[in-house]
Amino acid sequence: MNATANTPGADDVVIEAHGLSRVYGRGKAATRAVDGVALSVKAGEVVLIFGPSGCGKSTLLALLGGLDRDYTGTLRLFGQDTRRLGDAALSRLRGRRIGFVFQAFHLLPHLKVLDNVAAPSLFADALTAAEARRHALSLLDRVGLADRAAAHPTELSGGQRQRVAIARALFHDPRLLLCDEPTGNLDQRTGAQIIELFAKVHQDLGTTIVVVTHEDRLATLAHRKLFMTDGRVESDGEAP
Amino acid sequence: MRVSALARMVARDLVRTRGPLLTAGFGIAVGVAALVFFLALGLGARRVLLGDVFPIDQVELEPEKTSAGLLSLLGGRHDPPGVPPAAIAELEAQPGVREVYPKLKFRFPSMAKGGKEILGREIGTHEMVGDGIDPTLVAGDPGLAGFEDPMKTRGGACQRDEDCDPSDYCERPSGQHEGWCSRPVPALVSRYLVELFDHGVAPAHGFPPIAETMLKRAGGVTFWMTLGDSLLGKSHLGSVRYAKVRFIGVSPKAIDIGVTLPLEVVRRWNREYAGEAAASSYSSVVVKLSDPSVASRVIALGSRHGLVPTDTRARDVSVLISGVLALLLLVAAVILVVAALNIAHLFRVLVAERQPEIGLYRALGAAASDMRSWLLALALSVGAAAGAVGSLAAWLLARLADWRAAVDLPDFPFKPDSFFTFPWWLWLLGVGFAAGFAFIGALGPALRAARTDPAVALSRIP
Repeated sequence: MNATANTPGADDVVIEAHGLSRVYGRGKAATRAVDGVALSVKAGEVVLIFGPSGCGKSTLLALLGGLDRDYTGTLRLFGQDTRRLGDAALSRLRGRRIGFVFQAFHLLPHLKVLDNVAAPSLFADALTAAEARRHALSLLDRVGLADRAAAHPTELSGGQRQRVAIARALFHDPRLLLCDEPTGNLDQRTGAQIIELFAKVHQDLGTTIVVVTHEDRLATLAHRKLFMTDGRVESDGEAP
Repeated sequence: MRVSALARMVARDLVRTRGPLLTAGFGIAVGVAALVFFLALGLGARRVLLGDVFPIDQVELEPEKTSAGLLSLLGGRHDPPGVPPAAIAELEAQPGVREVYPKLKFRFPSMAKGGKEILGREIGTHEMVGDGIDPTLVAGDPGLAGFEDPMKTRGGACQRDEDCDPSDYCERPSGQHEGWCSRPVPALVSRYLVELFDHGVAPAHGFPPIAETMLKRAGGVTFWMTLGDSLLGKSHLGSVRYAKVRFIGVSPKAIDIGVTLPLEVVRRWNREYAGEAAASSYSSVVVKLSDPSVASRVIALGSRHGLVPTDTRARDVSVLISGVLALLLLVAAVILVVAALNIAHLFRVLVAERQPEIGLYRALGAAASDMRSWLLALALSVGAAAGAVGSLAAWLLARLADWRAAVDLPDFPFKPDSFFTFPWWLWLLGVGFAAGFAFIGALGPALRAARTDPAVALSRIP
């Protein structure tokens, strides 16, 4: 993490992809989910990736987050070629510098809200358990759920769960937030609250945010909007 | 991943998945309980049978018997071959040999009578056998002080016992006009003989058991030996006379059936009643082993000098115990293998069920190796806990079996207080085996968890 931070120019470009492709299957059954995507995301940008269902948005997000390494092309995260990183190094980079927010929240039902938020501390050496819980509580306070710290996710509404997931994603103060349909499971009003929360996070922390969505509600946040069709980025332009 | 974090994850899982883990752990606990129980029983049987009844930590070698013995018997005289001094020296130099002590058997007929002090009336035997050993061999043994040739500290000249103190007797060899006042000759007996008396002879004649009594009253129990005469006949040399003998204790170095006296005493008496050859050559040699596995090498070395083992029962019993134990351990191993398969199945299901969770952890920064460590640590914890419970169950079962045996089984020679032996390493073995089998069972699923594609796993709705 420190090495990355010290890399010249790493602060400017967070994501740099060239000819990024992901193919599922082989031969005639092969499906090109992501097809030669070229993308550059600068620090502090908010980028929305639009497109119909099945166009490869989520696959692209998984590639950009280093979750899927079975790609062709080039991908650099924070100036580092992810192909040159071993699993442990890439996992460390992911844990410390990238936060994920999912449509399905992916909260652990057997853990309390506080422990869900502190879960990233399990895989980092920085904080003790007590420190991690304190930090998690402060993050819950930031998303307005400090009073639900002792609850279990099943006791929360959809909007509250997503706020918990966002608090978890912010645990290591990431430079990059990757969100996969973050409002997809929420009603209009709750979705608006989550969008507000993203706006606040971006305003307060300057976090780079890449959001995959097929809704236009997040457009107010965005600096750039990408449209994907059949695995390709058809247009990449500044948001109005 | 820090150990504390790993411990936290495992602790949460132990609570969260306690039902299935308890079931899987139960299988392992049963297997380990069987393993530890059978091993403890085998070790206990070895301890009693090979430690007390047929000691395997020693080999007694004697000159091979030949048909010349029968011819010499018909001729009226027999000088059996002795143990060559070279053989003794070579045996002493063998690695794994703790000590070597030659024995000199009685080469004269004798009888014995005594025991009134502890039995209330005199008992005797019309055919007494015995041998002599070097007193230095028992010099350090507790309770056996005074085992030495009494003639080293002989008293004044005498012709009759009445010339000596009442506790002593007159040791006057055949053909001599005068002898020397002597303290009673110290004698050792084996635990085997004591057990045989207590559980065989004593009940038949209504005598009390003497084991404890004799040990407590060591030094006060005397008997008279008749030298040169027995039920089967008189000696060709010497004249019949008497010697006062005193039991001083029980020793594993004593002859199984008979009495063991200081070597020099037996040498003198052999010379007196059987001639010089019977006094100068040893009748057998006992080789004490620090490593029982060298027994076969010792036997081979002895055979090069014409020596053969006096008793192969220890080896036979050892083979028998090993065979039975192997069968029982096979049963335990089968239980453990089934338990390991159960663990494997459980962890396969866990990994399949927890794909989204594994995907999430990977997204939060977990390396593939963290996922592997997590599941293996969980399996090791379950295995170790099951092993501890299984070992404890085996110990409790053993105590119960000992208690029932003490209550229900009739008294028999060498009946032990416990049929089981639980050395410290057996506990470690129990826990280690359980953890090992659980580890093996969980290895496949753990590797699969490590290979989980996080992107695919996260695409599944939890």
